[in-house]
Amino acid sequence: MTNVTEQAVSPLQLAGLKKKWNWFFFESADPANCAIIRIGYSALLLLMLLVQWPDAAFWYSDSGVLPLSASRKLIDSDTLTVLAWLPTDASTIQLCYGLFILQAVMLLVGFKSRLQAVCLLVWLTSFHHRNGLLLDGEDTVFRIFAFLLAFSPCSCRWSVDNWLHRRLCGQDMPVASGSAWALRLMQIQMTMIYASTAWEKLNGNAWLDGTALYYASRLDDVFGRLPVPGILFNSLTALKLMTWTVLVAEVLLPLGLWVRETRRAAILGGIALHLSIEWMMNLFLFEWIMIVGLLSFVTAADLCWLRQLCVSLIKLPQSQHPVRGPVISNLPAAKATQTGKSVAANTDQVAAGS
Amino acid sequence: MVNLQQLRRFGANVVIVTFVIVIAIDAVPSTCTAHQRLKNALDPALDASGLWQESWRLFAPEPDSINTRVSARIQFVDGTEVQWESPDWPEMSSWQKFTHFRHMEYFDKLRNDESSAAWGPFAAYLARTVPAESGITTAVAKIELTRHWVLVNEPQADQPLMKIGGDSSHWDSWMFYTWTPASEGAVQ
Repeated sequence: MTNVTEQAVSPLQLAGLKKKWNWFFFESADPANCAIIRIGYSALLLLMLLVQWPDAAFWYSDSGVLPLSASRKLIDSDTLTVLAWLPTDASTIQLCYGLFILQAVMLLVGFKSRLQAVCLLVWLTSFHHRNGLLLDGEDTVFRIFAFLLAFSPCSCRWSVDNWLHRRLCGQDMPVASGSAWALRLMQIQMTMIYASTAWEKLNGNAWLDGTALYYASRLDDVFGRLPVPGILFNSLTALKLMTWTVLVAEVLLPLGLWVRETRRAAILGGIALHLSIEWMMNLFLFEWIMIVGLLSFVTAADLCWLRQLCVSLIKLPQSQHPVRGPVISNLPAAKATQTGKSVAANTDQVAAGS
Repeated sequence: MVNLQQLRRFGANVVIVTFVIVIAIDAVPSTCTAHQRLKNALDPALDASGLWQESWRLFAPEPDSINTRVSARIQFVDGTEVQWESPDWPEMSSWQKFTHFRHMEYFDKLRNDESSAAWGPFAAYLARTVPAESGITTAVAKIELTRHWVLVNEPQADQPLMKIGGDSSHWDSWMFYTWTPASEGAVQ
């Protein structure tokens, strides 16, 4: 009988899995990235709230189009809304909406961010459940990301909290080791969105036969945000090619975002996909909140790489100074130096998951 | 002795595992009966917490192939009438479409039979807010809600494609709800 080692019998080892799990969720995620997500997220939320502010009473009060009693008939009885426990008049709704806006501003500036994120989740859920006829995909992304921000050290940089701490203690807020695991959940959430929609599209005839973009481009409400080349949208062949390109992109993105060699291309491709949809279609803030979600995959090294790419493309002389990405206090490689090469090496390890 | 950091790590692991399992069940399209049962079991907790997401359709499996409007014929007790119409999207600028995005969602859903509970309150809102042509406050006698639609034709290789942004030269219509002050119920 051949003498085989334990490793050859099974490459899986529980201790190794635990080590990889801890590395993946607790050691490799960059807390500074949570601050970037916080700022992008709250800026978009604030924009959404301000745009809807004039219509708040129209949509959510009993003097508007849908009294509370009617709205409860339209939505699952398991849903909760704090607005059901408050007076239903327009003044109360305006007051609640004002608080909602105030807390979005406080999240934007980073004042008690995690508490604001929890409160924003409550407000978002309450207003969404108050009038379900208004909802779209972006609203779900806003709710889920509020939940995840509440678990993240999103005040660690560029925040009032950090500024106050620096004034009191003379140094940046300490970021607990392994506290950025919620960033990984944001990445998993984004992956799940792309995988889910790719799955749905692969079950649709219009996506497989290439006519989906033909139908979408003939919708008079959502299509036609900015001028599009007629030559592309009046040719069935071009429409089919574009449809299949979108389908392939959404099928590849869930994997591409995690593979070391393809992750940068996937992030840029994803952003380009969302920007092109934003150009063509009026989907409010969906494309922008998805771009913010994609930023959860971006590292300091990626920013250095992108800058170098831009510099080489426009052939400008390179700066003599190293590029400063978000400062990462608890990652050894990033702590040592912030030059593109060394951080890139660290990032590659992150992407490889090893 | 378990210290605070170990406790935090344990709590984080509980949240991570729960979140991943929940989205794997909730966000993936239903695959089998057992999967659907798991979705149904999770549904009350996700609904209550606001963390429901369901499958991400995003113009899938089939994109919409219909353009729609809603209109209302408002009859006043003095015999005069006013016609109210939902926004005409092609006439609006990109900024107007952006600021009226919720109107787009609302009217798109309002026309559906699943939203019938919203028809009466919407008609009542029109009765309260739309003035008679005379400008004098006049009581409303009746409101008829009508849905209008144009289907996007299937593309044919040997025929010109429908114009970008849809063809609004012919609308089909169906009066789907009648509201009166006396009876708030539907009279189909």
